[in-house]
Amino acid sequence: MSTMNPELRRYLWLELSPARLIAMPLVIGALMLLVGAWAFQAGQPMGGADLLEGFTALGSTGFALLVLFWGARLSANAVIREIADRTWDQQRLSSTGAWAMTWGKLIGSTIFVWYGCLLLLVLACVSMILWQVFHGGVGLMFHAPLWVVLAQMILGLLAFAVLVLASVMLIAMTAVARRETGRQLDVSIAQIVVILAALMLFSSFSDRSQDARILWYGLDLDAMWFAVASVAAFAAWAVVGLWRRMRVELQVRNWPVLWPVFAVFTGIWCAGFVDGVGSVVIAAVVVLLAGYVPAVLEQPDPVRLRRLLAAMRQRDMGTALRFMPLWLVNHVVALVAVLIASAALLSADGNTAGQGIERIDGLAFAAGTLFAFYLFVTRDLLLLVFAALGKGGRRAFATWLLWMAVLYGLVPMILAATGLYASLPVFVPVWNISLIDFAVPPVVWPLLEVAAALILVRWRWRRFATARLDAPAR
Amino acid sequence: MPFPGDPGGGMATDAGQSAPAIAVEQLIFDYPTLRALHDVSFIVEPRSVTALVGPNGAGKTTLLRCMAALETPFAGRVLIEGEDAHDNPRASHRRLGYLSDFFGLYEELSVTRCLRHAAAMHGLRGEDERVAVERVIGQLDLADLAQRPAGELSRGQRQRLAIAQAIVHQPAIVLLDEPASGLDPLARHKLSDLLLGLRDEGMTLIVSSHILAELEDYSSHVLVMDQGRLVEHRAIAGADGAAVTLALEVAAPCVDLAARLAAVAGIEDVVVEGLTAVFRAPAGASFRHDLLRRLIGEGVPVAGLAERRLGLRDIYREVARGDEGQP
Repeated sequence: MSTMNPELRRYLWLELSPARLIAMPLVIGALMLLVGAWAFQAGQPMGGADLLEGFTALGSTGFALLVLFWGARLSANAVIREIADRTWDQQRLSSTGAWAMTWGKLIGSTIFVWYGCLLLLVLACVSMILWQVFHGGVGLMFHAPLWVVLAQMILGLLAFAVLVLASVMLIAMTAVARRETGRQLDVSIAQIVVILAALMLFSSFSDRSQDARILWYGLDLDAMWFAVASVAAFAAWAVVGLWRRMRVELQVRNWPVLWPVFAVFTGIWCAGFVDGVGSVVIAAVVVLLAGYVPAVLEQPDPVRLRRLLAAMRQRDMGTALRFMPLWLVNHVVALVAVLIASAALLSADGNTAGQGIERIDGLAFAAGTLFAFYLFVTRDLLLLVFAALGKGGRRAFATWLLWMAVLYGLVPMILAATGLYASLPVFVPVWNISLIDFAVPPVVWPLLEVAAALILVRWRWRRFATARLDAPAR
Repeated sequence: MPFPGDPGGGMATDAGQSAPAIAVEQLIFDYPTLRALHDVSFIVEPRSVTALVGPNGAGKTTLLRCMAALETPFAGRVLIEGEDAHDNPRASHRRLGYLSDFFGLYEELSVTRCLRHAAAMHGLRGEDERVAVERVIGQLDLADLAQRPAGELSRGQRQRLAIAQAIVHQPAIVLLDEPASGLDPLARHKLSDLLLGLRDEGMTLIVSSHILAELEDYSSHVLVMDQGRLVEHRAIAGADGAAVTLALEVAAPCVDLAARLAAVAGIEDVVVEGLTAVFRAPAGASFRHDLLRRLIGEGVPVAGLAERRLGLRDIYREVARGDEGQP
């Protein structure tokens, strides 16, 4: 045990007491009794099959719920609790590497949940095997051989658990890095985000009763295997992201490349569901929207921005790149993606977008939507910087969220309700109105708003200028 | 501002000829609207104990955290035994032990397990881990508490455990931020003995504290910070090989006494008041013997020669007075 990952060993000491090791099987046993009681109630026609189906459902659903509601909370709390208990500096001061810390914390902090999940997985697998052997139930329900269903369930649930636990820890660590109050709020937000994402994932792939297929980049694929592979791929990304976040916490120097690469990967993954030139547009939009995530989670840090500006003034591009915010790098990559998508739109056959989008004038779409969209996101990010540089920095996100609700929700609704459609491009990207309907091209409005936002940021930056700090303190 | 290693500035030990334990170069650290460290530079020689003093908000903790590579400075660098701490923080952490002023412990773990965890986090495994833990338990007098949960320890016991965790991997350099806060007089005395013991084992220590009397017991150097600036860094009188302040008393007025003293190699800052001359001179009995023989030989009516100890509190007061005198 002494050669074990030290973080994992510490959690084993803390989490796996003999009492807890006994308690978990007892609780699962009690739940099995409950399922058994339901299965053999009067009026149930096939008690044995129902019992095994019930155990299968208990095992797989219990696994997912345990991960979502208990594991996610433990995982999000892992580092937050260390910071609250003032032990995090001791961890950061150790010579243990970022990768060892990452997997030690990821597995260790949730080791008791993993123990329960393992028991539930065994229950689900054994029940499924018995169900197939005695009643042929698996074959009837899933239209697939037993081993395929077992493999999909085991791999899918394990990948799902890693995805949820790594994502929630990553979100919580990134949010708490701002070292603000409301750490428990960070935990709750991280957990809610991941639960919502998981519910969306489950609803997308819930149709398992038929031999479902999926078209991805024109390939006819088994929907279940595709879901398992996708969850596994995103789980791997979550672990890589967590490792990168751990490197930041351990003061190891990082280059801001992983997030844009992830954004491009997600864009390419999403684009597979759309045919023709629409796929390029979808990829560009996903990359563009991905910029909001690091901007909101990390929030602009004046000291980091000051370092970036100083490095740029000294033409030290290596240092500048190190201190460049992820959202800014992502936004540059998004510009390239938007340019590629626009070129694709303009060169599309018949100057029309493909199947995924109704027949739209390509130029209008490129100029009126994509570029306007890019400029609106630029404005939003600048407004977030503006809010973060304000004196109520801690409330920056809430303030910004309110502005977004007004700009994208309230005002367009008022304009639509009063019939002022021609004014819509001032507030939202429009795509279903021909360019000739506008006296001013739609991109002009967001361009002016970007300029205004830049002026605001520059005005607020004065408070943080290095010249002020260099003034004698005494 | 004299630096250790500069002529007349600091210790003249064997270790002084090797690479500095810590070299801080033009360190600047910013908070969003405040510059916490202004271009701070200094060198810490191996096997020295440096007292880091200054008023609240002087930048002591920020400086220690930058040295421990827990914070990234805006500019400048920290070299730990010649290696940039921020280029490779994990490597520098093998050489460093750091005790924060507001430290935490794993309350549910026993003292032994806390130490085993700290040792393992520094890469010690198996027998190395066991030996390191046993050694530090002995050093910090924790044997009777070994199986007690950390959450059940008293303030002083917790402090000892935290120090044990910081030094379990036998770092070359130990940074301690207010290690004596909350300790009773006996525990403080034991802490002084412990720090001197660590120095004798070859460790370099930087200790931040408000309790100057206690720092005086074990510090060889003082580093004074004020408003993010380094205002003084010098050896404390009586430290090995350091310059000392001597007071020469004469039996009758001697008009050229100052000139005679200034002509002696090694003597600086001569001030004559009445029948007493105060000056800085190399430490050591042989120098004082040679000086007396020379003065008596020259016919100076020497009545006495004594070392005037300029301690940490004197230095701090002197620096504070200097600051007040500035415009």
